[in-house]
Amino acid sequence: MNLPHIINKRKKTNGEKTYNFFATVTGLSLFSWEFLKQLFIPPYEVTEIKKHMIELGMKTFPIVSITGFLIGFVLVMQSEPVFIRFGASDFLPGASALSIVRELAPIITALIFAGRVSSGIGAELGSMRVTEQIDAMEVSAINPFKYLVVTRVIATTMILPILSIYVVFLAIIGGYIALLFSQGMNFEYYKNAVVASLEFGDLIPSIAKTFVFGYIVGIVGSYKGYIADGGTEGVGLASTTAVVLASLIILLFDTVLVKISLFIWPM
Amino acid sequence: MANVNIIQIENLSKAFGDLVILDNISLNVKAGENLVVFGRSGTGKSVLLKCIIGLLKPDNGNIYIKDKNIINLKPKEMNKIRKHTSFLFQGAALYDSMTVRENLAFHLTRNVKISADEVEQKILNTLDLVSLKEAVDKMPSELSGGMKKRIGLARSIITDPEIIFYDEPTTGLDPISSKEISELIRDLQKELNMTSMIVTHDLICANIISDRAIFLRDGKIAYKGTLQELKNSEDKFLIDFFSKEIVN
Repeated sequence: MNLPHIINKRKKTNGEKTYNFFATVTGLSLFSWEFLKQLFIPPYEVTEIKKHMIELGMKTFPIVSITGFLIGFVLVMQSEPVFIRFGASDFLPGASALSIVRELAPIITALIFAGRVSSGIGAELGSMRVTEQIDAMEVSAINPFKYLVVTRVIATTMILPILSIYVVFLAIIGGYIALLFSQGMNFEYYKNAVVASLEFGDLIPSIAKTFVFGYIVGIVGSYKGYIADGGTEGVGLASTTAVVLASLIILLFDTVLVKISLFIWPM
Repeated sequence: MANVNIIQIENLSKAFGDLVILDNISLNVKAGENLVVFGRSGTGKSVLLKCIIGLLKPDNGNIYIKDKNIINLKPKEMNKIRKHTSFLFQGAALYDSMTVRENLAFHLTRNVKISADEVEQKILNTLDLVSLKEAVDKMPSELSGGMKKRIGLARSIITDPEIIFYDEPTTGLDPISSKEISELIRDLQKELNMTSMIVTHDLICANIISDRAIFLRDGKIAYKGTLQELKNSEDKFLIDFFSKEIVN
């Protein structure tokens, strides 16, 4: 696979920055195409995929647990005075649950996942690249793309929706705890209000888009690591640029996917 | 030593941008031969090896390994060739996340159909050859530079390759370790009857290993012959190179 060369020097001219932008877009597209081509070619490396799913899931589990709970808690705390001001406090459980399910939980989980996992993959593969471990696989008739990239991208694509569903539940519980403190709200009442406000069309697109976000985290981290050069500085650069690029692409895709989901499942 | 050319290189050229690294190189390596590639830093020795093994694509020329032209081979076809070859990288390139056992098993199980017991036995036998049986459960980070090279060597020979490429196998080692590794390479080559191509600056290593040597300069093979012939040459550049190597 021939990927466009990225200019890695500290001070770049505007022309070099523009070149790097288009080289990254082209490189990432070719990398994604290679992933799709190799996805269905054996060996399927199931053990490796499972290992990455557990590792990446466990790595992100503590941070998404805390964040998930706090999203719901803070959202309800912030929204409560506003809802009271407009005489709509009865709608607070349902409205907060809708915000959490449709947008907050998927996007915040994806951004945290990008920060934790994309950088990790970028650094790991980058380090393997600069120490010739990827070349060592290639010269030994082992397909490094299949073994290192495809397995990681499948793992991130599969694990992020699971984490996102977990965050939805934690955030909704966080919201309840906030209302318990402020209003002493009954859990049964809160649960019924939340369930009544949510529909099929709220859950499916929000979960579906986390598959896309998971794919973006995996593919961007792998791409940045796979093309790393320039020793330890290159590894650091792969790690940091992976987070920035993955987060940016996630936000761009979120905008598009929200529009598509509203078209398919109008509120 | 068989008189068959196992590697044939014809008019090989490689440039990075405007910088010409290899300029129309032709070379044959005979089966069972140890060919040492000399040259100053940046003269394209490693690039030559990487072109032969298919890690870099040459701009021009043909490379035949066992009579098969590897230029423009599809990855699947290239991998068939690579199952008969092996490469020892300068830094050993051991997989950081795997133990020594896993490093060796990884190459073996993916290239040879073999039972788990046979894998274990082969790993222990190969580690015995490099005198590092006790390191089988160690992580690469727990090994010294010399041990890494030995494990790298063990990983390279575990699949019983016919051709093995060494990229500066003794760089960064003290003279005693360097001599030990070189003797190990020579002994393994004799025992397993492999063909070797060794890129090195190390004259001690070359003295022990080489059957024949070439010297790269300005992208071309400037000199070739036995090591003794190169050392006895009256060419000022070679006299300078070898005298400096000896002093160092």
